[in-house]
Parts: sequence; structure tokens; C-alpha cells
Amino acid sequence: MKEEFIQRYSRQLILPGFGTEAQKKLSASSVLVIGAGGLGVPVIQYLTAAGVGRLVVADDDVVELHNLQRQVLYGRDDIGSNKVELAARRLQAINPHVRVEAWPERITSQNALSLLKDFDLVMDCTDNLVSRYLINDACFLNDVPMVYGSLFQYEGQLSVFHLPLPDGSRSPNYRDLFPLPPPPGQMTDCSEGGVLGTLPGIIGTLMASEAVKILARIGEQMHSRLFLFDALRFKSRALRFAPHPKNPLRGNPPPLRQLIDYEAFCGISESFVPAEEEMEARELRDRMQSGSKITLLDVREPGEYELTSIGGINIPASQLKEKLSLLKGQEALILICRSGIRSARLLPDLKVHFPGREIYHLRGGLLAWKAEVDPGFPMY
Amino acid sequence: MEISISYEAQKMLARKMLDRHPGSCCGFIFGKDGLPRLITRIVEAENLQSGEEITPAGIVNANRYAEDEDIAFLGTFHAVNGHCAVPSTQHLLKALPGHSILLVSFRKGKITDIRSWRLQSGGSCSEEKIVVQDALDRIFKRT
Repeated sequence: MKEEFIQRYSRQLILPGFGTEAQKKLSASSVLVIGAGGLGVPVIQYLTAAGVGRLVVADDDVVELHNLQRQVLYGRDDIGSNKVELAARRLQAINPHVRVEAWPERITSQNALSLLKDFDLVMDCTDNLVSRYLINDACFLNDVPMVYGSLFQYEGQLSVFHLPLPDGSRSPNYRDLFPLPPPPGQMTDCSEGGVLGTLPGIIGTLMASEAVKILARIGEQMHSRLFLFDALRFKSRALRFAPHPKNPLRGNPPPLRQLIDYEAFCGISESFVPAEEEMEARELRDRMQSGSKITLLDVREPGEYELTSIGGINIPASQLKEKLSLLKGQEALILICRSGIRSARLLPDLKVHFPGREIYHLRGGLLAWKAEVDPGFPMY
Repeated sequence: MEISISYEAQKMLARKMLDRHPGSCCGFIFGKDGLPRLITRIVEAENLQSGEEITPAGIVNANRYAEDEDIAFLGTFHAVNGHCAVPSTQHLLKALPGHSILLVSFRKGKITDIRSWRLQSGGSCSEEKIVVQDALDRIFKRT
């Protein structure tokens, strides 16, 4: 055995239950990591350091300033550069014995089945539901186990899906937990809800830990259980879950036997607010400039409102029910949030509460305001 | 682990969901603790602000209610519009070891999922198989 091999991996080679056999399995393994963002960064660093054989990182994003709060592999000079190409160079510097490949592309229904084959393990480090259902189904159809992680605000989740079990079956998967996506308008990601910067490090490192155990075939894997971690309260829980009868990947034959249009499945492409209840950013500007009587209701959290606003009353969505009396009046009410998701979600309830009143939400939120009205408007 | 819901309890739950529709509701489940566990009574949480709050005071009152009525306090229920029937950390942090968390997910007036979870000592939680739910499906159906 070469001296560098022994030196490099000595701290895990001497672990009880690990040894050279586990290291050889790890070094012969191939892993596809989808997403080189918050979760992906710790995952790829630790898997490279641990010495997997082949590591492919897929992501079509470039580094942006708001990534640097949590994606600690990148720096200010990297802004605008492709994440996976940067990552591949830095990973190669950590461990040149790992075959690192950068795939600067997005996983889609068209390419997923061919991209995912020939891997021993897939790491889902994405940040949206469309990708999660797609990766889950593609891994199921390709018989590839996967490690799943997700983050929201102060909470993280982790599980292992499609793992071969001793009885010949495969462990439950994402659709056993969540057979259906939430309704359009109720999906909130980190760009809308925020995320604690250290949380991707915690969950991503746990994901890498599960990956090492699966590839080296040691220990007990986190399959058939969903790990939940609340960083704000420093509490963790593990949910043991069973196959769900409504999982369309189950049955003989299963109802779902090929990849589908996941954007349509998650309702991303459908508008859940009638067009006549939406107001474009330019129209709002015109109404503000004309002096017509309107009330702007900004439903973001106070911390967001403090960062940047176009004025109006700030009542966060969570407090709206208790503060409806503040909105009495006849003038048109225009709901505003960052991207138009939260405001659209609140619109139907306000319509019921104030029948007959002109109520709109700002389509695309303040992001649209910046894009269409005021390019200098500071946004986050 | 299995949990069963009596026909009467299903009717009570469906009625509370209809009263709150399209909002969410939550409360406490009572019945007999055996194999399977049997839910015979559903009591909505009082003084709801957001419609989905289980407070420590509510749990104390539910314990008292169970003693007064000579019935087992089995856990909590949450009927949530649009959400999945998987407990959040908030549900789990408010639950007590041994308690069941019955989650009913509905959308556009129809039940889309119903699952029950039991919290164990040490913080782990396992899914319980629900034996009966036909009446709930039948009663809570609005299009």
C-alpha cells in the first residue's frame, strides 16, 4: 500500500470497523452530487477528502453575492463564475486522487435517466421541489440509492432513499413521505424564507457522513427514517416512516413508470391567482405617481421591510389575521412581498374579508419592481 | 403499531374540519390505549388564535379532561389545509412521549392524506398504521 494512501486516510483507516477494506470500497465508488450550493459544498468537500473514486458535481448556477453567507467554498472573486468548475478545481487541490468531474448543467426529465446511471450513489443537494421529485423518481427507476437533504429557515431534514435492504426490497423514498407536492403558492424556498448560514454545513456534513457509510458499507444508514433538526432550539427528532399506499412508484405494475413533467406536477407553471387580481410593477408605479388613493400592504417580515421597501404598512403574513382592523377603508389595497408568492397566497382571504373592495397583489413582488421600475432599488 | 378511529370519532373530526373549512384545526384525541390504540373522542383545542396551536396549558387541560372522563389521553390531531401529513419539528416538540400525532391533510375540500405518528422516549417517532378511516373520508368531502 502506498505511503501517501496510508498517510492521507490514516485517521479513518484506524477506525474500528473501517480499515483498508472500507477505504477500498470508498475509493472504488462513484457519486453524483446534484447541486453545488449550500448543501452541495460540504458534501463535495467531505466526499473528496474521504477519498471516493469518482465524484461528479452537477449544477448550472453561477456564484452570486448572496451565496457567500453559507457556500463557504466560494469567495468574492468568484462571483459570476460557474460553481461546478470552481468547485472541481478546489476539490482537486484537496485530493488529486479523486476523479472529479464538473457538469455545468441542470438535471431535467430529458437527461436525468442517462445522467444518473452508472453511479453508486446520488446526493440530492438541490433546493426546490421540482428537482426533488425528479431526482427521487429517476433514482428509483435507475435503482440507485440516494441521500436527501433539505433546508428551510432554521430547520433541516435528511434521509436515505432506495437503499437495497436485506430482504431484496428497497427502502422507502421521498414519495412515501410526500406523495403530493404542496399546492402552488404554498411552496417557499430559502430565497423567500431565508436560511441560517450554518445549517447547510450541519445537514450537508451529515449527508456526507451517510454517503461514506453507504459506500464503505459500514454502520447503520438513515433509511426508512427522516431526521429533523431545529437549529433554533437545538432539537433533533427522527421519524420512522413506512411505504405509503399512495406512492405512485409502488404497485405491480406501479402507476408511474417513467419520468414526467415535474414543473406541471408541482404546479409551477400554473398561475394560482386570476390575472385580474394581479398588478404589474409599472401599473403600481403609475397609480402611485397619479396620487390615486391606494394602501400598500407589505406582508414581509419586519426585518425584510427594514432592509428595503417602497413604503406602505408592514404587517407580516403571520400576523395579518389579528391585524385586519388596521386595513379598514375603501381605497384599493395592494399586497407586496419579495417575489409575489406570499402576497398571492394571502389574497383570497383578504378578498373574503373585504368583499367588494379593490384588492391586488404585486405580480413578481419587489423583484419585479426592481426589474421593471427601479433598477437601483436594493434587493436581497 | 396500529391506531384505529371509531366511527363516532371520525364524525367528530369531520365536523370540526367542516366548521373550520377552509382553515386548519387541531386538538386532542382520547380513547383506549391498547393494541390497536382506539380513538373514540376528538376535542378541539380551545382559544385558538391561528387555528393550529397546541399550547402547554391545552395539554394540561387535556390531561385533566382525560382523568375526569376516565379515558386515555392519546395525543393530538392536526387537520391542515394543503400541508403534508408528516409532522414538523414543531408538532414533535409539543408532543409527549407515547403520544400519537394524527395528521389529516386536505386540499380543495377533500382529504388527500391521513397518517398517524407516535413519539417515543428519546425523541424518535414512528408511523402508526391507521386501521379505519372510511367514514372520515366520506363525511369530509366538499367540492
